[in-house]
Amino acid sequence: MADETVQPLAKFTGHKYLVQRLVLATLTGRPIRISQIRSSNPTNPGLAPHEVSFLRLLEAITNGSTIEFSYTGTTLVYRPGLITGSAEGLGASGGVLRHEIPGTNARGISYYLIPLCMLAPFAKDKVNVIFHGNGVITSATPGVGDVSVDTVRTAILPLYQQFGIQNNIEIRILKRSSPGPGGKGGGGEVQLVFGHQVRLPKTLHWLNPGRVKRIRGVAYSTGVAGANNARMIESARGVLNKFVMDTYVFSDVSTAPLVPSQDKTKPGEKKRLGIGFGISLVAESSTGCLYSADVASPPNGGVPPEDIGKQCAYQLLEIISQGGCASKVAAPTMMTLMAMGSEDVGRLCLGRDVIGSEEMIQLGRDLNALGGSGWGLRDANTEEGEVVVSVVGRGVGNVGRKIA
Amino acid sequence: MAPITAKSITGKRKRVSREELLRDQSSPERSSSEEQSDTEDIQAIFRRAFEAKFKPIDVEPVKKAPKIVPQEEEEEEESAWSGISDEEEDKVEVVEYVDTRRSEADRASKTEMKAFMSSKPPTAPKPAPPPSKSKPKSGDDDDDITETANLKNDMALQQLLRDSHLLSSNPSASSGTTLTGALRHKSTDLTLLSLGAKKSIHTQAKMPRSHRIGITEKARQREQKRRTEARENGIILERASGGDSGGKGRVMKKREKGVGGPGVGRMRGGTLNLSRRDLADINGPPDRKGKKKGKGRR
Repeated sequence: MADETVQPLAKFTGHKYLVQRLVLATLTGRPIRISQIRSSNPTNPGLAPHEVSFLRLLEAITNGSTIEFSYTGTTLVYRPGLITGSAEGLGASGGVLRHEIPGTNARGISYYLIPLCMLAPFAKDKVNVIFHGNGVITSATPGVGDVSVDTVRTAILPLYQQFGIQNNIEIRILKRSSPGPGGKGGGGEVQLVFGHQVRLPKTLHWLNPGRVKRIRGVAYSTGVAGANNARMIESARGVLNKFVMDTYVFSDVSTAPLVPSQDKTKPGEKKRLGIGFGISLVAESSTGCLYSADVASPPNGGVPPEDIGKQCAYQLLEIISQGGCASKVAAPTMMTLMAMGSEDVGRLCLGRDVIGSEEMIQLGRDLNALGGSGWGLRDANTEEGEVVVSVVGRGVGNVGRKIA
Repeated sequence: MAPITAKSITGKRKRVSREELLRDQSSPERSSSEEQSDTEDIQAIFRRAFEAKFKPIDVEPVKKAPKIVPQEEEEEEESAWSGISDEEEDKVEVVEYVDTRRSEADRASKTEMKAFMSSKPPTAPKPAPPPSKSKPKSGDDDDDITETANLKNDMALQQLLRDSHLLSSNPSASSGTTLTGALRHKSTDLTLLSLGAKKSIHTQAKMPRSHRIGITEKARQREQKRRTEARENGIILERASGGDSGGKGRVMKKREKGVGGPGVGRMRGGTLNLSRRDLADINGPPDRKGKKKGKGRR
């Protein structure tokens, strides 16, 4: 590319935070080189199936981006292009981009959704992607720690409203699925519609976390009896009702998706994949902060729904106790959007455990490496000992919008 | 019987008031060793029986019990219940009661569920809409007045248009815009009918029977005449309908009988009511004796 003389490759190592780096590179327009991706792993070096799938998705919604792998897949060079969204003719048909996730994928769909939502406001056209295939897991994944699609919808998407991005945003859960045997594969189907593109997200000043006023949630079960939902809800409410009376958890029961079995001896046969249950809880504070918790049954089973419900309730309480205006799940999204905002100082109050987490520190470093400004931290004068993070926006925003 | 099982010993033992303890000490001592061995035997038997049925019980707490046994054995014989003691007061048992059952009213409303479970990110539920303002704002006052006046004029015009045929049929009355007399009544009647009245106010509710018969008879004749004339002229008319076909005077309506209802009369509140006519039907014509016609009753 011509601008490589101006913009040298930003270099990163390791497979961790790969998605975050790719997203930041796309948003800032900086080419990056990531080396030593699982290079020390003797059996599975290089990119994992979910990372490859994400790269494919990134290629589909951008125009002009190039991705180069090394022979073993341990090194990757990514030169971002314009985020076009689901514009006609670029892999999308009828304004909808269909992205298939292979059955070897072990990550929840939120692994794809959350970064895609970060990119979507800066797209040229609206983003409309259907995730399908044997690898779509809509529930939380107990092994790898992805949140469920319900949490994305109820705890992460509402945050975009704070940045003035609120119209025509939807996540349709067309088919639910829990992780399949061994935590791999699902067979669900999810559609993301993100129809609100902006030039620049609004500058955010959010310093008052407020107090939790209501708790909502979704209990889902796929392929198992709906009574599991009721049991999870009972035990979760047993814990939470003492603190917040306004606690309601809704129940969603569905059959497990039917996917073609991979058995060569019986072609055309289908099997049920992704049986399990889980619960997602969201606490909303008086100032609109959202704290979420997610627990799902392990793929091997053996955990009663009461334990899942109770565990989720306790997890929610723990996350609320960390304080701040954003939980660990939501903070990267918020900080990224703030960093992509106008050249103005935005402020966000975060709990010490949140800002001190490995992911947040790495996010700050990666932003710095990609030409962002540093974060200013100061103590918020609250009894919880929260930290106010000040971020200066890049002021570039949506390049596609600027041209169009 | 004196307490035997370990449980009852430990359970009842604490219910000993101070006075009774003192009284025990003052009372002549029995041969405590004999007493103790006796109770131990019984205890052993019971424990064996218990252990045969359930798990072996812990021996630890039982060991402590025999120490108190000799003294209190007699006391137990004297009075089965020794009153409420105040020794237990320092140990308060805390029972945490959590009602896990939820009432139906505890559920979220359907609208809220729809709002939350839709594919859109949930928004905060909107509070109930504030009661609509009964008083118009002072700024729009004269505006509203003209608006209401316009509406009134509109309605008057519409009514006039509707009643115009009345005016045209009676030119003498078309002096002013307001109707008078019979025309006014007709206009009111039309308005009521247009608003959904069941029948016109001009239909006479009551009249002498001879009049009514005369009216129906006249109508029947007129219809018959029309039909005969049409037949003579070779015009095919619509099919005669219902009662006023002209041919028959009265058409018997078939009685609506429910399934399982009585063949005759009317069942109401567990009573069979027979009307005068029913009775007459049952009895048959009184003048022809012995000639009973069933009249098709089954």
